[in-house]
Amino acid sequence: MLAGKAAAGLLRALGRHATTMPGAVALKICPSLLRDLSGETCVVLVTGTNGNTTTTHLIAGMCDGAGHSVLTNSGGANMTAGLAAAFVADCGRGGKPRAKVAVLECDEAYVRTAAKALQPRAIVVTNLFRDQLDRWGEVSHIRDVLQVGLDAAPQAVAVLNADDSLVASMAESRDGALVRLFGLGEAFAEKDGERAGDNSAGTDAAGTDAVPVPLEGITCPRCGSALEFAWRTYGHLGRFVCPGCGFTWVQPQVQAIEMRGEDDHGTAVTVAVDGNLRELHLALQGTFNLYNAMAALACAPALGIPDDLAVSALAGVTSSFGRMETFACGETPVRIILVKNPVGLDRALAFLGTAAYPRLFFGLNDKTGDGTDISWIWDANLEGFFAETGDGNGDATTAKPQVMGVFGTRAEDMALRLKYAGADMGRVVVLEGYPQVADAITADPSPVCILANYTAMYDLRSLLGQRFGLGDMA
Amino acid sequence: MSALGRHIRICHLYPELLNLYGDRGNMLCLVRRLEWRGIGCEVVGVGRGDTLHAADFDLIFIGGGQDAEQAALMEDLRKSKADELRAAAADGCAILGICGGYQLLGHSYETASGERLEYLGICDFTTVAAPEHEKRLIGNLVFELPDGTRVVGFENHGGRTRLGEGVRPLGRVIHGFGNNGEDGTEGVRYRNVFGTYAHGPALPKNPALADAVLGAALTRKYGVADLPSLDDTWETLAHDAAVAEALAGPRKRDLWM
Repeated sequence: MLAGKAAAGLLRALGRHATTMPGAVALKICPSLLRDLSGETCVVLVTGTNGNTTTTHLIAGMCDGAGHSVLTNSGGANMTAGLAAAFVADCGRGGKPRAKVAVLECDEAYVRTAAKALQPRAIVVTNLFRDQLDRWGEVSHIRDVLQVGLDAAPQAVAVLNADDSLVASMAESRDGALVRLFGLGEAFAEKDGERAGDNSAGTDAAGTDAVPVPLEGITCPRCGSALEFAWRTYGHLGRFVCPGCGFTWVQPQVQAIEMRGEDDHGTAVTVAVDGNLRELHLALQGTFNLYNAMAALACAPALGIPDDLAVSALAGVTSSFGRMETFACGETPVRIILVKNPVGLDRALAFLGTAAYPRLFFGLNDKTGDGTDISWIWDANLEGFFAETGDGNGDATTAKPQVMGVFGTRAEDMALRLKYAGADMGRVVVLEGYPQVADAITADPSPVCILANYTAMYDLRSLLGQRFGLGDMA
Repeated sequence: MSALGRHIRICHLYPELLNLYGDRGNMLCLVRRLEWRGIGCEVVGVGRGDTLHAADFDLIFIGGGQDAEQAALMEDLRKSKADELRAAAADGCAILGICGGYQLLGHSYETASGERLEYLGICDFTTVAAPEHEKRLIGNLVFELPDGTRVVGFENHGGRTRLGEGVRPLGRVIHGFGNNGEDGTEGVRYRNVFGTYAHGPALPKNPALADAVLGAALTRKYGVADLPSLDDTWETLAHDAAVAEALAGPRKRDLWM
């Protein structure tokens, strides 16, 4: 334990971001570290494809607001060493973590190890979308890996997305008392053919309408038949039923049922929690963040937090770094959105359709931490975004971006993607490094939105943090 | 010959199931490169349960699928599409198969447990799944067409493909694995059939390959390809950067600051 603390201190002194290395050292010296620490701490594991960091952040904030001392791995270090590092960082001299609750984002591949060692109170599965296919092969495989992870913690409450057929199917092997479902109501469903993700492979005339956007989970995870949907919120999330085997959507215990309002500061919704209506104010926007908030609320009973307290505690939680985070670089207002898969990019574009940013920067890396296959950028509906924006004529609702910067190891691939999406390429500039991106951002006081995948977001955010004194990242 | 009045009908086979790894970008590329030249085009998705009338089409695109989805469509393929696809190939229809879609063009696929799945048999090759202990072939792929053009993409396949005697590959591997990681061949080229393991997606940043496929379809229909040249500045930029990165390897990549 001391060695772990020492390594963390050393790394901090060296100025590196100490998220996993001390954990790795501590695990090396004491392999049963995770298990040893789990004795007195109530653990929640959060896993899935999109929104894990935000969900982790929301649950931790909810615990904090409810008066529980909490530790978390909010740096996004989500493999076993990162989890250990979170405990190590929280330990006092006695070698015991001070927090009563540990909320830990966990990489899908490590859920089984972590669940077995920690025997968590709850395991949250947010959603399953295609992501890093070079690493995983296919989404149904991740589902099976997570099922094994859940089975390794038979006493844990499984907090599952009711609207995601792949995730909901994990409830089947579990006692009903140990399953808690969350979701959104029909009020949040996309209208037919409204935008990206509508997979009607029709016989349209030429044009990109005829190129469907790939979806996961449209086949039944049980029998492989094509699922039918009464409605969908986005992607493959919605009220599904399998005509083949009868596998069907189940009414979740925690469900957002009505939108009360959404503005720059946040979202107000009515939520049904075990049949009681609650008014939730959230300092986040976007349908995907409502799912994250529902996941947090669904976790509350497992942590002994009454739902009214959970609802009021969530109101005080703001976004975590790089996830819709806003700040100023000199005179320039900046927002950063982490996008690392097609659905994430589609969600970000849906947001940009309502908040017209005159300048957009796209960061695309294929470094080890990102997954080396960048072809997913073609699976998002950028065509729809550029078709819906205009220069003030026609029936476009949102102003077209005036400047688009691309950066990262695959900047040129991103530029080409913009060309085929219908962007005005006279407005696209390839930036050669992070300092050039920072210079380009501050060259103009008009607002900037940055969409970037993991290492591109992280590295740029670090540089901006140093240059503009934004403070440490989580 | 004028581009006016020309029209290409493209079949997107199983668009709801075979659309892994940016395959959508390949369709988008074909459509755009026709549009930009003033050539009319129409895309028809032919999915599970639909009957394929291959004679209606000038170009058939078959993407890659996840294993579970690919298995789910085998019966449908045999029942309502296989004969039509074979007839289309024999008739000179342009067909492009990527990864799983490429494998379907061969005789068969042998699974890790030894089960043999009968595929279309349009081209003379077979694919065998890697044994459990052997790795999938994953990473950047660069290969060279017979005319010296380099094609760059991303491959991710467990299957090892072996071409029959005298069967022409699409190209020769320069970096990566290709058909099997051993004999240096990548993909297949037969009549107007193109098969490749290259995702990426392959066509947008390899405009020469995209135009070869479009040219095959146009030549069959109009006797001549007659493809007016396009401004491929961004395509070339992306192509050259991807080739350079593939050849430089991950160390250089991780140093991007």
